[in-house]
Amino acid sequence: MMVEALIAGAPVARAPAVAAAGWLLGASANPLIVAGMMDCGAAEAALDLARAARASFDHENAAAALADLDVMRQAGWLVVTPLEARALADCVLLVGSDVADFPSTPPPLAPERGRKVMRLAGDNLMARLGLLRALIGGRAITADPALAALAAALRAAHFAVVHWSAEEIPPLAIEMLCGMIETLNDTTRCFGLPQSGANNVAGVTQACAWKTGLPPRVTFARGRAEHDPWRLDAARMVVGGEADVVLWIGADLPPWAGRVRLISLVPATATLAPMPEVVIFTGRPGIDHHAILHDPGLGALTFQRAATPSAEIPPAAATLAAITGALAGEMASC
Amino acid sequence: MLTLITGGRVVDPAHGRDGTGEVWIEDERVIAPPGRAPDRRFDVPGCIVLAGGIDIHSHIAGANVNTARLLLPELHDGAMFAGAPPGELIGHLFAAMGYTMVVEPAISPHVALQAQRELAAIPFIDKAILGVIGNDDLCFRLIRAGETTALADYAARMLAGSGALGIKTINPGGAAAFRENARSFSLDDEVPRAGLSSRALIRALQGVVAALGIPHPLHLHCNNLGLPGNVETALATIAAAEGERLHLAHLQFYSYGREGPRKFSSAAPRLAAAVNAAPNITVDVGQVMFGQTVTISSDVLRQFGARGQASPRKWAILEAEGNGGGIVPYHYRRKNFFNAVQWATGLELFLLIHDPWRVFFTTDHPNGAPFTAYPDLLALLMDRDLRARWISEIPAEALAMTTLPELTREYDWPEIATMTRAAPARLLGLPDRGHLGVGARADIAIYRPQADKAAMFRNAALVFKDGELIMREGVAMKRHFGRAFAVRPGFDKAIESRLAAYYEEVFGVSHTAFDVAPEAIARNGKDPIESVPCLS
Ligand SMILES: [Zn+2]
Repeated sequence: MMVEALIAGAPVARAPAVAAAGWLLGASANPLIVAGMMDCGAAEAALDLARAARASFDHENAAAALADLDVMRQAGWLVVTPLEARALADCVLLVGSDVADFPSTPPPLAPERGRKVMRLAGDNLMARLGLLRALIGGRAITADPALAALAAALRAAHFAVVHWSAEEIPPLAIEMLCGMIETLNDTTRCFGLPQSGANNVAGVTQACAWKTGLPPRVTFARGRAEHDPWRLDAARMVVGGEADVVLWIGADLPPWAGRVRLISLVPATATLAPMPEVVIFTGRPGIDHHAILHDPGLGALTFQRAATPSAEIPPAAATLAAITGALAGEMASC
Repeated sequence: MLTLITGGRVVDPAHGRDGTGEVWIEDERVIAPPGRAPDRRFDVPGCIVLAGGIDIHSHIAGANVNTARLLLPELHDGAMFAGAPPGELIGHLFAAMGYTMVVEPAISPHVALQAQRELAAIPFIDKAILGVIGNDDLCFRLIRAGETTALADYAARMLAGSGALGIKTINPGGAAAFRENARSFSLDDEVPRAGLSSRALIRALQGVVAALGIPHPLHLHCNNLGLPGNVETALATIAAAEGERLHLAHLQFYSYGREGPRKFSSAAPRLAAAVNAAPNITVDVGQVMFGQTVTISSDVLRQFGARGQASPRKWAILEAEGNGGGIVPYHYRRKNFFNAVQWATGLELFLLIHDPWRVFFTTDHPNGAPFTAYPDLLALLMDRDLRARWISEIPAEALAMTTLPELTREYDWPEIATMTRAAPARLLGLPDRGHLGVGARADIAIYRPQADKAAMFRNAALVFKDGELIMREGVAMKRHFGRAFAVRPGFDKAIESRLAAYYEEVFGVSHTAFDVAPEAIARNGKDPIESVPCLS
């Protein structure tokens, strides 16, 4: 029989480990729940638990997601889905070196226009983005011919798409790109295509929004959900000693695993060093169990059937719900 | 469990019932008096006993609604989150008002899974989505080729994949025109690259609804929403329906003339007359109420144009296959001429359209106002003195552009019960709700009349869902989860291979990637979507 859980490194059944997790969270002054890899159902369950435990909630990849979000929620933006970009874009500007190449085949819904794919990357990226924006804004500046040609292509396009990754370029660059896109829409169509981050951070952000009205980096410390991108940064809270107990859900342990009392919901494949206080083995989304995940290629949440369904390893959502139940029992007995 | 509700005034217009009487419930259903003693009994003398409320058009879930949440974190203090509260609060606040079902009316097939998952997490109420088509290239191709049957098959396949209760079309052709850099789009404008007018799209989709036997008529968001003089578009659209069933969503937003010094006026009397004269037409109002809100619409053309009026000054425009969407926060102000005209226009429509079976109670939540404004709006409809007080606070120059001060009608309880219960159930094809006859689902709202009518509607005295007491004076008594509803018209499976080929060519993905699997939204293993029969 497979090992269900570990307490202090010793194999135990799932139930005592769930009880121990509930006890640790209940006794914590400042509990924190952090998503590494997490499906949307687990995010819903984690937020229920966070509310019950008056805990904070973050996602390991939230920083980049919030960088994109900050541009939207400070000024606004015009964006496009990846499928629409594929179907219709006649001009694609790839910004930075992280985003993948875009097929240069003509857009299926307007093939006669062809498709021009350009990349702006390398040294002085910020400075060149600034120049590009100025060129698009019609400012009389001298720029190198390559940059001028890029601006001309964007202006001449019927439906241009600007693709970037917030993992790579700084928030100010995203802001400049969005400002440039806005200007282009005075005369033609142009849209941003932010690359969604790793580990289902886009899906978790969506679930967090429908559960709480807010993106990750939320806390229920005062009963209701509050959001603070800086204060509720999990890595900062752990390194700064603010969080005393962390519940982590991921494919592997977090980089700061040794610095805090840790409860881990991880698959059996995870490397357990340093050994967390409590480990509850958990299914892999879309592999061991069905899952709702954000599909970056589709730009939407999709349902992924279990590749090799396992009834023995529960999904994180079920374990999180069990911990919420254990916590409720904990509180009732106080 | 046998339950008796007694002593209240039972208002059940579906059965012509209005008087003091009893309602018996056994388990989930209303039953005939059984000749046995009840297990529990609720004496509600002086109270009004209605079926649970049904909202046919409120934006409560899906990617656009969620973007609105993410756009406005600073407006999340207080209950309404600027009009896009989280799901838990939506369920609670609707149920407290005595609503037991809400339709989310604008879900593109590619994002149906998210919408259904969000809805599944909303407690207390039943729900449904309307699936959006009419701005998608495949729809254009099939219509242009005259492939009527394939178009119906395509629509039926979309409904099946999304789990939708009906078909919505949003500024049909307008989003496609937006992609091609259009800045405006009207009923007889040609959709660029498609060679079709909006009129032709509407007619074709009405034909689809009829051919598939979908109980809910085509749910139409018209062209030119929000623009001065757009009453001409609405009138032309009613005429374009040629006597076939058509539902015009949030009519208030296309009821504007160009009269007066500011070239903006209410044209509600003309439009109400046209609705009164066209029995094939149903409408919901989309009333504006004053305060902060956020507009959430898949009419990307309109939202792009409206982003300059954003308050606070930010917005999100999404360009997507089919319909995208736009999120623009907005503050309706009592002292603003235009907003005051809009407010008066909606009330004129309510008061001038005679038949409560054909005019539906909405604020197009949250576009005209968050649904939490319903209690105030219901009170305004039932009380002309209250209306007069509100009227006295809006600018005189706005009032001069409307007939509202002359209107003395007050809605009575049977009319309220028709508009918010019996008629919506009939419009959606749900025979076991919206009424209190034997066999009805035991969704019941009981209101305690008081001087402050809005307070009465905000927190119903008692609310039953599926026979369980879920709310008492706004306090949750029992956590309960409803279900979603969908139609499942049959279709020729040949459409699958056509869709597969089309999706591979245009999007490079499988068309089945977007389907809503029951396992994806099930709670506790129960079938999450109940089928609603189509008309034969
Ligand atoms: Zn609407």
